[in-house]
Amino acid sequence: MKYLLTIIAALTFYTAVNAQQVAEFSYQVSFPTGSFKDFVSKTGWVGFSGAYLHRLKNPQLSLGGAFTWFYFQDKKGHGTYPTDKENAALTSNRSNYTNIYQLVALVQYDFKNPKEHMVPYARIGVGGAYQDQRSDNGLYIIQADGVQFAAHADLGLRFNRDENHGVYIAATYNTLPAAQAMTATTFFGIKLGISGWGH
Amino acid sequence: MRIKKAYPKAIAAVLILSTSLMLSGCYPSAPDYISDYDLVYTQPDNSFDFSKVTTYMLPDSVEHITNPGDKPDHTYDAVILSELKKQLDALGWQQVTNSAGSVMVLPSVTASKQGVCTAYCWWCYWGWYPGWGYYPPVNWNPGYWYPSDIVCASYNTGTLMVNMTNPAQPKGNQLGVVWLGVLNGLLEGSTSSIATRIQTNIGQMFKQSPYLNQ
Repeated sequence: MKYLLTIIAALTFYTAVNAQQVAEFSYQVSFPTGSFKDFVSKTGWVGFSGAYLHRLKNPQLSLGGAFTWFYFQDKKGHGTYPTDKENAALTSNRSNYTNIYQLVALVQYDFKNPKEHMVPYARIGVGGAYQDQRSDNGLYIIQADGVQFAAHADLGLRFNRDENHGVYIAATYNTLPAAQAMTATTFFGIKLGISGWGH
Repeated sequence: MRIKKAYPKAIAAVLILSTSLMLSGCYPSAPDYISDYDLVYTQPDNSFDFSKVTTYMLPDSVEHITNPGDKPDHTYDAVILSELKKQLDALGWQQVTNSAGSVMVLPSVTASKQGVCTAYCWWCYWGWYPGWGYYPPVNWNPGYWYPSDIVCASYNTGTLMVNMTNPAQPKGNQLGVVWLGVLNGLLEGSTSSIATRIQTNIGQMFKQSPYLNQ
């Protein structure tokens, strides 16, 4: 994981100091799936990402890096909840929530010339994340946090207003496998973003 | 930076602001009512056969675990004992006054302005029940043993721990806990409202432990 983060940081730095770079900022609304939905079933309305991409000699191909923050919360309310111990039970006013800080390396392929007005693209991000999953129960907090593998895949459509301005929309799927005591985290998302780039 | 003809400053400003926001994280708003902070936890020893329990012994006092020099507050002892008796009777178990009962139910209370569970959690006392010396059926020293985990923090609270022990099978000089009930909450509000919350939540301990009623 340490080497992976180092590579991502180096890649991000590289793209930041070279031409043909694209800067992006995006907002994402997310929908938990799988076992993560048991932990937080509510839609995640907080998801912000900053990214840099560098176009390669083949301008349809880009490499880069992104930093993303997601927040999910689910006020489950007063109830009796099972624990990981057989027949043990906990009755409390429960709120589950998690903050996810994700750093990934990006590979993007534009299906058309990136200078065209409307450009569909596919993107894959692979890296690591620090996640802080918490469950408030009365005055007590059950916490599971740590670093874990993170990946996402996007399928999007970018609308170029002119040569250097654009907006995009994408469907995305994120996955962070279970690690330590953290629940496996998976969610779909709809991403809206703006981008600006140079030559 | 060689971003040209775009809006790099705007994006950079957004990135800086959003990064600051990101790193501070988000947290849900706090509950509105004192009772929202009440917590009831129960855990049985799954190897213990509760269907064979027919009698119980309940002491006539509640053990208070206090810091040296602190005076215990006995305001709620009667409520605790009467509610426990009510719930145990409802299981169909007969109360006995000696340690020959199938189980011994030993309530203990901690009330502190800070750090009830300073060591880690409710089972900080797991393994050591200070009041046990009152009812020594044989030559035991005070003590319990049991498993634990779950991370917790502690605030200005009161905690009631109900330890149901098995006097028939001591392990060395310790009594095995076959069922644990924990009530934790804020010691705020009127005496009557606290007493009501205690009654309700002791009832909840038994409600969420259906295996006791076999």
